[in-house]
Amino acid sequence: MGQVYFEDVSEGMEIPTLEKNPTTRQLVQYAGASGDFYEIHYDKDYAIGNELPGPIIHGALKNAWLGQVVTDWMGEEGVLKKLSCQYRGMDEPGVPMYITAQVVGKSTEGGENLVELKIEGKNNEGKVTTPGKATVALPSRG
Amino acid sequence: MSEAIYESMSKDLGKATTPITYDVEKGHVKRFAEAIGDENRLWRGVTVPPTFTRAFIPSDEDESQPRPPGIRVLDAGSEYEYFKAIQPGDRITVVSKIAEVFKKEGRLGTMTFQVKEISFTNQNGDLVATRRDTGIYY
Repeated sequence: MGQVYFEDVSEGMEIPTLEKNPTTRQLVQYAGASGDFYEIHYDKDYAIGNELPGPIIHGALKNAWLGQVVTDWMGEEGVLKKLSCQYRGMDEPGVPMYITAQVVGKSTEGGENLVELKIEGKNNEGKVTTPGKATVALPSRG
Repeated sequence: MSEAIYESMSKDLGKATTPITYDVEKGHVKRFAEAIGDENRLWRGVTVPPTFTRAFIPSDEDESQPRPPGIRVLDAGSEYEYFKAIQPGDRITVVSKIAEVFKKEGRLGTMTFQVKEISFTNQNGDLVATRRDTGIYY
C-alpha cells in the first residue's frame, strides 16, 4: 500500500478493513511469541473449567490487529502515537474477525499532522467486541 | 473469596516492580509478527509492531508459570503511548507500577479492577513507550 498524506484524509473516511481468521494454532503461536501462556487461550478443558465456551483469543492479540489495521494504512512515513482498546466481549478461534476504522478527527499540533481514528474489532455477527482508538502523525504533501 | 481478592490486591497500590531488561532480538520480532499475522516489511528488521512490548513482561508477572488456583483473571484493555521507535538491538527496561485498584459488583460477584502503568525505557535512558493495562480479578 502506498503512502497516505495528511491532505488526503478527511473526517468520516473509512480506512481499509482487516479480516482475520484466527485458529487455536495461531493462539499457541501468539502464546509462544508473547510469553502469555494463560491456559484459557489454548487448553479447551481448562477454558471450560473456567466457565468459558472454549479457548478464547488473547485480548492482546486482538489489540495487535487493531494496531495492524492502522499501520497497514498509515504507510511507512506515518507514526503511531497512541493506540488503545477495550475488551468488551470474547472472541473464539474458528470465527472470523473484522477490524474496521474511521477517521474521527484531524488537527495540527506542535508541527505534527495528527489524525484520530475510531477502531472497531467485530465478530462475524457484526458485534463490536473490541472497540479502540488510535492517533497517528502523517506526512504532509506540502 | 472475591472480596478477599480485593482486600489483598488493594495493599499493592503504588507498588512498582524491580526493573527487568530485555534485548530486542530481530528473530523474536519476526516470530511475533508471524504470530499476529502481520506481514509489514518494517517488522523485518526496521522496527517492531505496536504491541510488541507485550513480550516484555514486567518482573512480577511470569506468565509462563501456572496461575494460583481460585483466582480468575480477565484482561479488560490497554492504552499504549509511543514516544520513540524501538529497533532490533535496543535494550528495553520495563517497570510496572500499580496505579489503581478498585472494585465493582457484577454478575460474577465482587470484581477487582487493577490498573498497571508500565514504562519502557531504552539503553540511552529514553522513555520509548508506556502502557496502561486494566485487569479484572474475580
